[in-house]
Amino acid sequence: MNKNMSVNLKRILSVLVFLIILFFALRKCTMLLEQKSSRIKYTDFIEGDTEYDCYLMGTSIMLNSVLPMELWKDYGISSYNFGSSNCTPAEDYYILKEAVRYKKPKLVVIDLMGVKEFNDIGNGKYMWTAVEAQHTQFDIFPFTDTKVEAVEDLFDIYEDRNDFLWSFIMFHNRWNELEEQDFNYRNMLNVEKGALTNLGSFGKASESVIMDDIEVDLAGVNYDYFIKIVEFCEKQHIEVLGLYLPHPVEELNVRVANSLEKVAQKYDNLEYVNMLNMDIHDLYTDYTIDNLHPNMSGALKSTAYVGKYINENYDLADHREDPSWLLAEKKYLDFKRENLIKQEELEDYLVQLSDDDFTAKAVVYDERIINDKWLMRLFDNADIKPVFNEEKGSADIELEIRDETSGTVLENVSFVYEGRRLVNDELFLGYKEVKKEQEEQEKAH
Amino acid sequence: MLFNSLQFIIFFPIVVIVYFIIPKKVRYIWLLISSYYFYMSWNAMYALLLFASTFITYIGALFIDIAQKDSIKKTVMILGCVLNLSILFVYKYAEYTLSLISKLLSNLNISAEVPAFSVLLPVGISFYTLQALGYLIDVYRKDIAVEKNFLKYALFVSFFPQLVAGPIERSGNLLKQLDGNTVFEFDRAREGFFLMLWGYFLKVVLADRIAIYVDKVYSDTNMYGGYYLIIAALLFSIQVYCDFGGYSTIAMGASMILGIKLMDNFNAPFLADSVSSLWRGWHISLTSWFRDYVYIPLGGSRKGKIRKYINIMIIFLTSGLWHGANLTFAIWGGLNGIYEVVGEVLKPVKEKAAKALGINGNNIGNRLVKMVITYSLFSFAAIFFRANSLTVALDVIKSIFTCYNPWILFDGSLYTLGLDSKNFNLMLMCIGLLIFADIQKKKGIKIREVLARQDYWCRIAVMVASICFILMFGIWGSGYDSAGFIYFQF
Repeated sequence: MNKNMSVNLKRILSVLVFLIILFFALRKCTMLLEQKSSRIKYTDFIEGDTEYDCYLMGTSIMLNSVLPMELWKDYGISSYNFGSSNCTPAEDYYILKEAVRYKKPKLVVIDLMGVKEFNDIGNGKYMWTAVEAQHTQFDIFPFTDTKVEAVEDLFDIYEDRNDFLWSFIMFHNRWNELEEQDFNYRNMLNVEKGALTNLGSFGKASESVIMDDIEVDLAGVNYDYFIKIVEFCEKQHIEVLGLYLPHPVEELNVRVANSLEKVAQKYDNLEYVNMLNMDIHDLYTDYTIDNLHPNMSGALKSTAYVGKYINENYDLADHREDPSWLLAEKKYLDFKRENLIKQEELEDYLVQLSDDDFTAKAVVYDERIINDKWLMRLFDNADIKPVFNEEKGSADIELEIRDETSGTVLENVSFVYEGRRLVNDELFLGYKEVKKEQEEQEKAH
Repeated sequence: MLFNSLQFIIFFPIVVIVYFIIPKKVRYIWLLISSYYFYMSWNAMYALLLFASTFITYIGALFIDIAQKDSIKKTVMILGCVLNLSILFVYKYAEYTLSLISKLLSNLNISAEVPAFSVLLPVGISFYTLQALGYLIDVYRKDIAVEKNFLKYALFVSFFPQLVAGPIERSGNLLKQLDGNTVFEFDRAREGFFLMLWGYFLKVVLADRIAIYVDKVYSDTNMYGGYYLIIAALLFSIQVYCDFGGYSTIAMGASMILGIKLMDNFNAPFLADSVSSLWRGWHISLTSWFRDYVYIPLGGSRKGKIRKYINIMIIFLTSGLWHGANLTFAIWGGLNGIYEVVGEVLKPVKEKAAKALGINGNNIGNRLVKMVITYSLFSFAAIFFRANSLTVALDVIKSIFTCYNPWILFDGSLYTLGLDSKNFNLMLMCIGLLIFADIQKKKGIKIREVLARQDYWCRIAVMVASICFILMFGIWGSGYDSAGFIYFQF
């Protein structure tokens, strides 16, 4: 080899080294700067070795309603929740295709709220403008044919497509927002197998419209994608369970839910359950402040129904002795304990205590609490029977919370009762609203 | 196709690779095709104007070359200049001229219908027109031999790195480099790559970050008065320097990779201690063009002081109007001309005063003060450059002198104009880096050559870190309108 060749070879090598280092440096920068929600939600799914028999897909109603860890604990079902805010069937179709590349389920449970809702909305063809939620769904998946196909299909705008194919384009300006989770996201991974428990209480969620049996034409782009999901699953020998999950709905939702019955009859691998008219939820105890999404109490009820239905209708293995799930349970229990003790209001405690992993003894020192219908309903929902003590305590109510999984007292907590007004038998106002009204009345005086 | 676009990042490596693979004798054709493709990516139809300008000056130069009589040569040269300038006039000045005529007639109460004329200014027309004219005059002066190969000459006019915003090259420098005889040199390519990175830093990290603040303030000069405007005026000078200097540096770097050396367009202008010195380092290719083709033919400084001052004013006013058909540009040019003339007139007085007071003008403190004064004067004139109209410019100046709000420098108000505190501080740090680089340049130290002497791992580390820095801290991507470089409008 002459000297020139040797020099040229070194230069070619140095260019290659430069390109390789540049590639990895940009990859590192991309991972550092991207919003971490996608990694937090899906790292466990992609990197873990747990086999999932059931994928839970759909909108935020699915995200907040069906809790895989509870499904596993009570029914042995191994599932992962892919639900996301405003997630359309069109998105579900591509997320499912991506997910199947990693692990193939036996059953896909899909929330069909979006089958009629999201047509013709947003800047993408079939998408809402919840860009952050869309990045949560897609960012973690690598650059593959499926991802390119998804992005080309779902986004009209060239720049949006680039943002999804290389999220660095979107997030490179996040350097001034970096926080601990950007450097340390592995300590903050989702321990609910993709789901998201909503905390807090609301008062009373809106009544849904009167149920009727009127149907509606489902035709639309998202309906087409739902059918594509069913057909894709058919080819992959995957069963599909369509659900219309309970939540406060309007007339159109009811009619869509009615119309889906007939669709299910057309496909062998498709079952459908309309949960809207099953009185699964208690409007007084099961919703969060947004008056739409179920809280922990509502989620446990929906999960229980879905778990029971799957066990009765599908032949899925019982994973309750699976070591990977037992390991996941430890983190999940810690997470639930943290969620419980970080609550500040009595009502919010009671919502979390509807979970049978926790019990509580309640001593009430203020008679008004016994007369507070909403609080009593929350106590009842959490299966707690408060004991009235006529002596005056340092607080108006004391709770001794026990952790049933460890058999220990988790926390002793007391509250001052701040008053509540009962407008009529049906409507209860939270104390914040009462205080606001009192303040307004004082001002008026 | 902007330098800071994905298309260019794909386009340029393809041009380079093909350029060095194909036979040398056809390389200029490849560059010509690439240059027209580059230009037509803005507006394909305007390539006809580029072609027309090229054709007129090419034919003119051939006639000058074969003509025997000087009078014919001169006539052809003048005709070529007039034709070429006519295109520029129609597209750049006709609209403004007609509106002026209309206003004048209306003021004189003469009722006449002046036809409306509105066209989109073809990008780069001011640059390639001057470049082509320079060639015609060079041939007339016999400074260079006529170029008989039309395609090669067409490439000289349209060479893509400097086509749309300069540097305005001289035929004597550029034409001879277009033969395609260069071989690929690794070290030269690396140096060019470093230059491009520096240009991208200036444009994407600095100029576009400063633009966020300046644009916000100028969007409502009534709301943001006083010190907001002072900061905006001071920053705008740096913005233009980084924007235009960035473009020129990328152009130089890209050309260097192809083995073609372009002239440097800026030389640490804000380290100058006088306005005349500043202009020797600002848009060098334009100022030297006016010096060579206008100032010297007018007599330069050879016909007495008064004539010299008049010539200086002519140059600056013409330069101002070259930037745009608006009174604000003429005032901007005129103000800079006045600075220079006044500087010349006061020079002996200043020297005498310094001597009498025992002041050594070369001390660092004195030079620093002069730099600050020079920079402030230049920034003040630049208010007319930035303002959309004379009224806005005068409002800005009025507000600067009448609105007293220095507390905005301390109470966080500055961070509410599009740049939060982190972005604002980053901008200041980057300006510090720019000053450091300019000081090195002034000392004759080329940072890219210092880097070239380092071990390969160090060079690679610097390159990778620079790319990551530019991509992370640059203003680009979603939500950012990369509308282009400031000098594209000229």
